[in-house]
Amino acid sequence: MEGKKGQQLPALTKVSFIIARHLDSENLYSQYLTPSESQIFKDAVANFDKWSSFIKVANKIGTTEVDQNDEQKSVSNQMSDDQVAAFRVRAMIFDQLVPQLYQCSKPCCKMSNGIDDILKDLSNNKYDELIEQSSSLPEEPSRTVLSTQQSDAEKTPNNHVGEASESNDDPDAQQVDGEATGDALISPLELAHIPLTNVYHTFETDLVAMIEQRKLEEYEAQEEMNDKENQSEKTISILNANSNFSLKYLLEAIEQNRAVTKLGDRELRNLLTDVRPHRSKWIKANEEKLGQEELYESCEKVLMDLKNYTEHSTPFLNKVNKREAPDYYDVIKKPMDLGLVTKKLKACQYKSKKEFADDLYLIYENCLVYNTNPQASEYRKHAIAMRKKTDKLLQQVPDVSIRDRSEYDAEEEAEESDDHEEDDHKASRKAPGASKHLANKTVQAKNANDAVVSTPSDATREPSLAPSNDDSQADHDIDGNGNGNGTGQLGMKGLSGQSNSDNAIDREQEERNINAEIEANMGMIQDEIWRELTKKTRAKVSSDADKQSKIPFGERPVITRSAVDMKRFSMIEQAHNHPETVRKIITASNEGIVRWIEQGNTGLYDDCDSDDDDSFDDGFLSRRMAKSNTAQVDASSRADLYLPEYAITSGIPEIIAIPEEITDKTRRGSIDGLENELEYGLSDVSLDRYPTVAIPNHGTSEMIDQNLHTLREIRRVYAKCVAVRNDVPVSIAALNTSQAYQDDSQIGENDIASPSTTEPTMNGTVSESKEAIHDAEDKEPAQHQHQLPEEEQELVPLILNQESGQALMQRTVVKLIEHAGFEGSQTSALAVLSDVATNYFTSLGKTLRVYWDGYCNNMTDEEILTHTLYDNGIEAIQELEEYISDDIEKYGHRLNDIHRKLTSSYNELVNGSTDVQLPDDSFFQSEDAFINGALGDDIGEDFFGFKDLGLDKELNLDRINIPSRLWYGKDKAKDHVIGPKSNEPVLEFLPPPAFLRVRNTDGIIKLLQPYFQEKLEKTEGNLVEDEYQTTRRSKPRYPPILSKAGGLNRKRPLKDANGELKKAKKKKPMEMIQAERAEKRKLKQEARAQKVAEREQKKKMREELKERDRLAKLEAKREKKAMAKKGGSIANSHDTPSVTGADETSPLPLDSEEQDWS
Amino acid sequence: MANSTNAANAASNAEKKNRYKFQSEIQQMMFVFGEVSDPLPETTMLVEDIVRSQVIEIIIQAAAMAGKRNSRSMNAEDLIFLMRHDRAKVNRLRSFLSWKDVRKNAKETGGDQVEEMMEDSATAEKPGKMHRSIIKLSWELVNQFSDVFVKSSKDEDSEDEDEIEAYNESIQRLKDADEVTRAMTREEYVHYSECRQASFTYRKSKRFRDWAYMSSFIDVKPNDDIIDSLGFLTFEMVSSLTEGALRIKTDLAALHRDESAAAGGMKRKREAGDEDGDETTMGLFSLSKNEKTPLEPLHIQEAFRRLQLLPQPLKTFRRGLVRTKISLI
Repeated sequence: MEGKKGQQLPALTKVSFIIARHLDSENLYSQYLTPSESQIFKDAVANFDKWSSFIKVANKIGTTEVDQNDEQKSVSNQMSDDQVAAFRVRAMIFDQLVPQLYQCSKPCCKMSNGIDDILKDLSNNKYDELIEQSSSLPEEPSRTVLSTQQSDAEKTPNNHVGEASESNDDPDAQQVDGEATGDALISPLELAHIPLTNVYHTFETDLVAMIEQRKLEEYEAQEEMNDKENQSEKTISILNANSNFSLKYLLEAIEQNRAVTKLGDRELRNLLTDVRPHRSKWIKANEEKLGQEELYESCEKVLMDLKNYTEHSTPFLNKVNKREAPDYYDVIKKPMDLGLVTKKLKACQYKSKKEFADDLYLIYENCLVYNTNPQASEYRKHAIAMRKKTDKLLQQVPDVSIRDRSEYDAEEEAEESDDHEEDDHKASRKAPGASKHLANKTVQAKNANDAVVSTPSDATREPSLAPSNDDSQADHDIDGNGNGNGTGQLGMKGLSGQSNSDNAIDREQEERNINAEIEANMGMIQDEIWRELTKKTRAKVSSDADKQSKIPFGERPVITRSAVDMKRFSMIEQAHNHPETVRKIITASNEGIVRWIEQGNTGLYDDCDSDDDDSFDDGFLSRRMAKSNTAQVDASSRADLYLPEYAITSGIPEIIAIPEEITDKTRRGSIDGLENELEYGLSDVSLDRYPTVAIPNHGTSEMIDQNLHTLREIRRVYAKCVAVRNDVPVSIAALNTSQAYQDDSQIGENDIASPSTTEPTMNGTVSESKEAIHDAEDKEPAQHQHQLPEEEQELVPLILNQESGQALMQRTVVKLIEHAGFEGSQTSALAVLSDVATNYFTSLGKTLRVYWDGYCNNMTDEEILTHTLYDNGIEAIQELEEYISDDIEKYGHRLNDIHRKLTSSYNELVNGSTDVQLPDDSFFQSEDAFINGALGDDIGEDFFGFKDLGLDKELNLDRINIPSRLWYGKDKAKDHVIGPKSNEPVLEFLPPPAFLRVRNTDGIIKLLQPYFQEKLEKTEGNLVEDEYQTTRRSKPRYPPILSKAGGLNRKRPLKDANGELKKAKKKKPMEMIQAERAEKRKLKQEARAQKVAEREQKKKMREELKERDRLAKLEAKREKKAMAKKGGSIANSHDTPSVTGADETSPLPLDSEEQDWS
Repeated sequence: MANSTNAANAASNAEKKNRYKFQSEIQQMMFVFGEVSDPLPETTMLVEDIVRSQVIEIIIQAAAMAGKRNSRSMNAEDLIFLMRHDRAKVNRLRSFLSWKDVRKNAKETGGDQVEEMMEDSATAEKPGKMHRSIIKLSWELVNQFSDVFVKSSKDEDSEDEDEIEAYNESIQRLKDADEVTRAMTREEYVHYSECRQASFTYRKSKRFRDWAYMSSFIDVKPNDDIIDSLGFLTFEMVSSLTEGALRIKTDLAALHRDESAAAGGMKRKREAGDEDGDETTMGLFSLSKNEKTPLEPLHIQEAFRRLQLLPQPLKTFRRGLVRTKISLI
């Protein structure tokens, strides 16, 4: 252990003494030391001489060991308590000095735990007087060791010793004295403070945890088996045993629905017993046996507690496995385990407390018999611990012995002299509450019979006094119980005169040691707490790893990282100085973490393991509430805690040399979608405060700025348009967009917030981290740049290095991105873009360099430049000019156009269309115009009747339609207030006041009161004017227009084949439409029929014609013959067929036509 | 044997000839852009090859774009996206497509309406079916905000700037063409105007598709819009190739002239007075000075090379194999 550099060894004592004093004054030693060691420590700290001798004790160990030969080594290996304490104290002091060795530059882990000051002062020899004085200080009185236990779990991590004042609150906690250590488990509240931040835990206990867990599971499985065996009997017996008819049906229902419920039998039984608290499950037996109920109740409690004493109870839960211990059953003739005890209890085989206790002690005795090596066997330790616990628990069991009625009656008759006993027995039956009293009596009665049992009474009686925690008491207990156990093979020794057994093993001593250790362990130092809580998780991890190791390597599943785990790890790293937060991170489920991150919690102070979520609708609230109950599960019962040491795949190692800001930024940027801003108190001085790198406000920059301004305006107006269109109050929409944009001049500097949903914010700032690079010269890590307060007037000089260059580039890129129309970007995208830009400029420079170096003699400057540009993608200088003219100027023009259009459309939307001349069919296309009555304008018709009402003159409306803004409020007149002002002129006289809503019938004339009363009752006090009611009329009222509108000249006919107006079809009521359809159908059918008929007719006609042709031909032939006979020319015969053919053919179409048109 | 080889040769020749299906169209187009009226067959074959490979490239890339949109069929927008860098071309293409719609609609409603349409075509908005709709490009910033526009007849200059630009450009082209045709005789003009209407795809879509092996590159038959756009684009391709080649030819000629002038100092005097002459020595049967020589394949090749992408700046100073891809003319 090295104190300051270059210190000689003798001064070490001084240093250690001072530090020890400091620890003492701050009461921190109890975090490290067990109670007994703390005691020793406090003694030693009293004065310097004691201290030096105490510390140097440790040195002697080394020397003595060397002298001893091998045989004696085993003896001397046993160190005295003092030596152990000394070693642990040295470790504790060393721990305080660790920060001096490993310096950390982060603000969260800044070391100012007072050790610095101490060391400084030491060098200044301030403490010399103290050391000299202290040798004369009187010894401090020893405090009760226990009182410091309570402060353990509540201490904040070590590193905040100097700063945190909460550690000084612990003296208050120390006033809790005399707490019963019978309850070895500290309350869950304290357990909740898992000490994780300053302790490294080793893996050696994992194997043990795993084995224990397995045994637990086996045991539970066995229990289930046992339960199943007895299930049917038990349930029925329980359920039907009672004569309580009121529950009978309930029980039947339960019986029937057994399959549905997930509860196990035991739970069901417990629930039932809750229902009927006074009828215990032992009721059946109780009728025959006396006192069984209370005995069994308490025995069961004892058994439960023992089983739950998981540290030590696991080996005894189940029967010893023959495979694990082949010769066990040869050595042990009466094997016993807690499971068996449970069985017997349930089977009501125990007739007295003694039997029960005997069985329990049999377990431990077996264990001690079989495992003979006191140092090597863990089992002995467990057994002794369990025995101790059993002793304690058994004190609370009433010593009732259960006897049959018959026996009892016989006894009664036999022992008439003990009337008071009978009374007591009877009393015992009637008043089970008087257990202790009874216990005493029965014990006394028993004592008359059984001398062996005498001492239990002593044992049982004494603890009924206030339990204290002296070692002597413990020994007494053990020995007393030792007397009570007469069942073991080996006789137990007791205080009362029994000599030590001949065993080589000094049992008493052993027990005392173990007891001391157990008691010491009751203090539950941080390690223990952690082990307890994380046992399940670690067991699971180990068993998984075990399974994995059995599979050959190639077939094992791949070890992958998960983003959530990595995020968790980095969160823990970043929040390592907030233990509460760390605890939450560790105990939260995966979903909780993801949800938490998504909510963008900037401070890690929100609750991530409750599932409350304010942003959800109320409809989900009930579900959330139900969930939150299950979320508050005790950490020790969960098997999936996130332990950073075990989650190897999620760790992100920290790179020491890189300053924190950059590491943070890359972390933020690399995990897409999971970005959240953690405050570190960095003072980000924005680049714009430096005049040297200010963006010039002339030239391109100015144009771009203007464009950006226009773009923003466009967005604003667009939002308003959309709002009007969707009937959302306009001001809110406008607000949203205006919030999104901050001061114009600060573009690129602040975040460009995104009203769109997808992108998180851009961050163009850079912190003044230049000095981190120059830190090598800085010896004092305490003075960090992070501490630059905002109030500092002087700006740190801007150094141009890679980071600042990147930042400058990013700033420009941000501006260009916004110019292109994006509203936000992810950090990673921005980084990529600026990288590309940087790359481009770099290559530009390199090209220039190449040309310059090679060709400066041959080419002029312009040539070099143009060549460089060409090589880098710019064909001609004109391209640059074109860029400016096209992409900036014209773009600006276009944006202005858009803006203009948008504003005009917005105005139109809001004020109603002022179009005068709309072509006819367009108003059918835009229903608004139809509703507005704009079409009425065209027609010249005033179908709303405004003119009749005289409204047009009153309001000077030149258009007789309803302004569209009136249509954008539904039934709340209030919304119109937010809308834009109308163009209506100011009236000479104020319009009459609006009608007030009728809320009650007070101010109304009597005549109308009953009417209003009715109405109020109907609508429950919310009378709404008719015009604001949302009753949808099934049939919209449209003015009759069809007939009159038909007379207008139309440019093109709108009627389709059916001769009806297309658009008007939609507005007709359903019946008419259906009628039309039916008509159409009829028409079609008729047409079809007609066509069919026509075809048939045609066929007929053709047939007829063919017939005629045939006839004609026949005639022709006859004529020919006749003609031939007469000696006519062949030409005639040639002609005639053609003629006739022509005749034949021509009439055909004619005929058919004629037919058609006929 | 000889017969079979002959037949084989003939067959292969026939095949080769069959592969070049658009020779006549190319001839006509090149004539329009300033080539002689009978270009060399090698030149035209080369042009056809280039155009075909370009068309295939376009199809493949457009299909990829459509795939990115998760749609099986290509869209006109996909095509336009491929040439988004050339703003002028984009505008021209868009106008072309919009007129196509008008033509189609005009046919349906009857001839007498067409003239009305022409008159009214100044306004973008037409009532009824006669919309002259210009495709809205999804990546333009305007379109983000266009859904709330309320078109009213008050707005007279509702034409996009793009439209105006395209219009101006076409006017310019027409002027240029006018200059060219000023000196033509009537027959020449008729011939010229016919050639001007040459198109790869007008009423030849099937032939075009087969020629470009479209079936092997895309599984869904492209719609008419695509084919028409491709026709337009091929026209543009030939034009740029031809004009580039012509420029190169004149540059080369100038270079030769300088060299030959440097070689023979005696002819300098004549050179000085001879501004537009290509040949210095005139023989009796030599071609007249103003006679143009046809383009040669090497001109076309050089023009094509010049149209390819510039050296990519991101890949400079990077060692190793740099993969280049063919760029669209």
